[in-house]
Amino acid sequence: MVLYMREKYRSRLSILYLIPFFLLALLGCRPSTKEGMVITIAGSTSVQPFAEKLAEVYMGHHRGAIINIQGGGSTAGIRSVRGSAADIGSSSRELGEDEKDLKEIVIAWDGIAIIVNPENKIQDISLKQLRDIFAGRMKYWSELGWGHKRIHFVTREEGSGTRSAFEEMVMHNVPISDEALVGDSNGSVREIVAHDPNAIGYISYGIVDERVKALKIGGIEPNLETIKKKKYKLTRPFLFVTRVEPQGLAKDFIKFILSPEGQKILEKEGLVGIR
Amino acid sequence: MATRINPLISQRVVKVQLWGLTGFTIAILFFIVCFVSIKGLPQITLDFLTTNPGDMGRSGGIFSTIMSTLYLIFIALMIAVPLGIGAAIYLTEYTRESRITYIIRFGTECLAGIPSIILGLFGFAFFVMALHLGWSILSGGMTMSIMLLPTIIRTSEESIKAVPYALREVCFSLGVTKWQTVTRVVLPTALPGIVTGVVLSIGRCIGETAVVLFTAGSSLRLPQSFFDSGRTMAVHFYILAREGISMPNAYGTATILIFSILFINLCAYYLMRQFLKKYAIFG
Amino acid sequence: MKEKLIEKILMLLAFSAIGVLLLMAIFIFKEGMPIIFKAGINNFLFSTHWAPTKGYFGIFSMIVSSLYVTIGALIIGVPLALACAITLAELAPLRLTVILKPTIELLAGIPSVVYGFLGVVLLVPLIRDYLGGPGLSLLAASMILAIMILPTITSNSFANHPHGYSKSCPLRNYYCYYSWDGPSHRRNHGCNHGSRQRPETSQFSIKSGSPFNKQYSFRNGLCSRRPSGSPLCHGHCFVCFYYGL
Repeated sequence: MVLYMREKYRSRLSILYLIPFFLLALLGCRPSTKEGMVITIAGSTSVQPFAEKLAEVYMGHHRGAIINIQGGGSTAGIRSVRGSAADIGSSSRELGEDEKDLKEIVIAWDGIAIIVNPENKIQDISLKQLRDIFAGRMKYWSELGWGHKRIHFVTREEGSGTRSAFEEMVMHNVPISDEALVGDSNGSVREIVAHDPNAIGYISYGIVDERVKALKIGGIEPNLETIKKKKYKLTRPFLFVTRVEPQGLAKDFIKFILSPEGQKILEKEGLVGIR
Repeated sequence: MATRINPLISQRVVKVQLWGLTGFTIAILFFIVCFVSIKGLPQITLDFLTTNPGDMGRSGGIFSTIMSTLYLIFIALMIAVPLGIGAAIYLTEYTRESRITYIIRFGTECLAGIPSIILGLFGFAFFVMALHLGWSILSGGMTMSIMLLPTIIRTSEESIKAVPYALREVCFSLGVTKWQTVTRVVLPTALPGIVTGVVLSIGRCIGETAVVLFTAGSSLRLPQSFFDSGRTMAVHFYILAREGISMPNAYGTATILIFSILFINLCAYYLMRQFLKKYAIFG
Repeated sequence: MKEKLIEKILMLLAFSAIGVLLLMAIFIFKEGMPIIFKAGINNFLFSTHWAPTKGYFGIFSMIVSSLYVTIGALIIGVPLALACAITLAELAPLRLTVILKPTIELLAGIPSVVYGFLGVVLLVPLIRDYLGGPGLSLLAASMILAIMILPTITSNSFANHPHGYSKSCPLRNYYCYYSWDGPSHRRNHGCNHGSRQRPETSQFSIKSGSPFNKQYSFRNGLCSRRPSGSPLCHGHCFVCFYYGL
C-alpha cells in the first residue's frame, strides 16, 4: 500500500514543482507601467462613480489603456498621490494650506444636497437650522414643523472631502456632534436616509435619486442651474490632484475629461461642467 | 411537603427549553441561507456569470470578480501552502517540544487572532505603499496568505502528527534519510488532512472582505496580470450592498458566495472522511 | 549535508510565522507610536474626542463600544450555543446529530459581509420600528455577532463533551458542567472570534453607527478612520492590534 502511494503521489508532486514556473511566466507578462499604459486614480468616494464612468468610456475608445479607480476618501487620495501609490488623486474639497504644493485641476462642480427621507414633510431648511441639527442642539423634528420625532443626523467620516466641504460651508467651526450616525461613503449615507424616516444627511447632488428627497436651502432648490450659477450655497469643486504635471496617459485622460464629450458625460450623471 | 421541584418535571422543562433554543438557532441559520438564495437565484443566469460588471455594477454580471477571486486565491495559496507545510514539517519532524517550538506556536496563534482589518491595514501600509506594489492582486494575495498561514500550519501539523510513528520507524530501519521519509511517506499519508486544511482556507479566502478591500482595491476591470487591481466577489457584494447600487445583483453575488463556500466546505468534509478512513487502515 | 540544508530551510519557513508577526508589530508600532505619544497615552485611551484631522485622538468611545458589543454578543450567543451543543450531544438521536452538526459548522463558513448585510436589511428596520432609535445600534450588532459566533462555540463545546457521563445524571448537572468546564475557554475563543471578526466591514459600522449611547465601535472607527490617511489611524490600529492580540 505504501509503495503504491509513493508512486502515485510522486508523479503528482512533481507536477506541483512546475507550478511556480507557470507563476513566474504569468508574472512576466504584466503591462509595463513604464510605458505609462496603466494609471491609478485614488481618492474621494464622491468622485469615484463619475471617474469610473469616464474611465469606462475612455477605455472603450482607447484599447490598451488601463485606468484603475480606487476609493478611500479625499484625504487618503491626496496622501496616496504624495506616496506615489496613485498617479492621480481625486478630491471633493478644496486643497488645504499644506497641500498647495500639489497641482490641482478642477474637473466639475458639484452641489452638496441635504437629503431626508421622502416621508419627511419638510421642504426647506436654513443654514443656521442645519448647523443646529448637526451640532446636536436641535433634537426634534417638531422644531422644524414636523412631528415630535428625534432627528437622526448622518455625517461622513473624518477625512472625507464631502465632510470637510460641509464643515467649511455650513458648520463654520462648530464641531459636528458625536451623536451623529456615520456613513463611510455617499452611497451608504443615502441608504441610511432612504430607510430611516427620521434621518437627515448630506451627499453629493450627483447621486441623489428617487429614494431620497433633497431639501431647499433658504428657498433655493439644488439643481444643475442653481449650482452652475452658484446660487445654491453648497457647491464644491471636484479636483484631480497630481504631484507633478500630468504626463502620458494621465494627461490624455484629463484632457478627455475636460473635453466637451467628457463634460457631457458628467452633466448627464448630474454634475455641473466647468464651462 | 418539600419545596424542591420534582426532578422529572425540571428535567422535562429543561429538555423542552434546550430543544426550543436549538430549533431556534438552526432555524435562524437556515433562514439566512434560504433568504439570500431565494432573492438571489433568479439573478443567476449564464449571462450573469460570464459578463463583466458595467456601470458601477448596476448592470452586467460578475465575471471579472470571479476571476479576481480565483487569481487572489491562487497567489495566496502559492505563498501560504509551502510556508505552512514547511513550518508544520519542521515543528513535528525536526524538533522536539522546546522553547523554540513554543515560540513558533505562540506566534502562529497570535497571527490567527489578529483582526482581519488590521491585516488589511498592514497590507496597505506595507505592500501597497512601502513596497510600491500598488493596489494589486499580488499585495492582496500576500496579505491573504498571512491570514491563511496559521490555519494551514495548524491543520498540517495535526495531520502529520496523526501519521503513525510505525511508518517512520520502518523507513529509518531501511536506511531512508529523514527528508526522504517526510516527502515520500509522511506527506503522502497526511495529504488528505493537509488538503482539507487548504480547502477550508480557500473557503475563508473567498469570504474575506476587509483584507482585500484595502490591498487589492476595487477596480471593476478584469485583471490582466497580478499587478493589476481587481475586485473580488466579497468586495463587490459589499460595495453593491453598502452603496445601494443594485440590490438584485447584490443578492445574486451573495448567493454565489454562499454556495461556493458551502460547496468548498462540503469538499473539505468529504476529504476529511477519506483521510479518516485511510488512517483507520493504518491505525 | 543536504539534510542539514533542508533542516535549515525548514527552520526558516517555520520562523516565517513569527517573522511576519514581528514585521507587522514593527510596522504598526512605527506608525502608531508617534501619534500616541503626541496625544499622550492618557488622552489616547481615555478621551472621547476623536477628530484626527484636527489632532484629537481619543478612542475611549470605541473601546467601550467594542466591549459592549462583545459582551452583548456573548450574552445572546453563549446560552444559545450551549443549548445547541448540549442538545446535539445528549438529547438528539445519533442520526440527527450526524446531520445537524456538520450543517452548523458549514454555516460557520458564511462570509461575514452577508451576515452584516442581512442585519442591515432585516434586523435594523425591526429594531427601528419596535424599539425606537435609528435601528443602527449596539443591539443589532450584538445580535448579528452572536449568530456569527454560534457555530464556533457549538462545535468547540461539542468537542469537549465528556463522553464518559452516564445518562442517569440530571440535565442540570450537564448544564453546569458545560458552563464551567469545556466551553469556558471556548467562550473566550468565541469572544476573541467575535471581537476579531471584522464583521461585514462597514455593514457593522452602519449597524452600530449611533448606538443607544452615541458611541461607535472600534471596528467602525477603524474602517472609517482608514481613509483619513495612514499615519492618523496607525495609532488607533496599534491599539486595535494590541487589543486583538
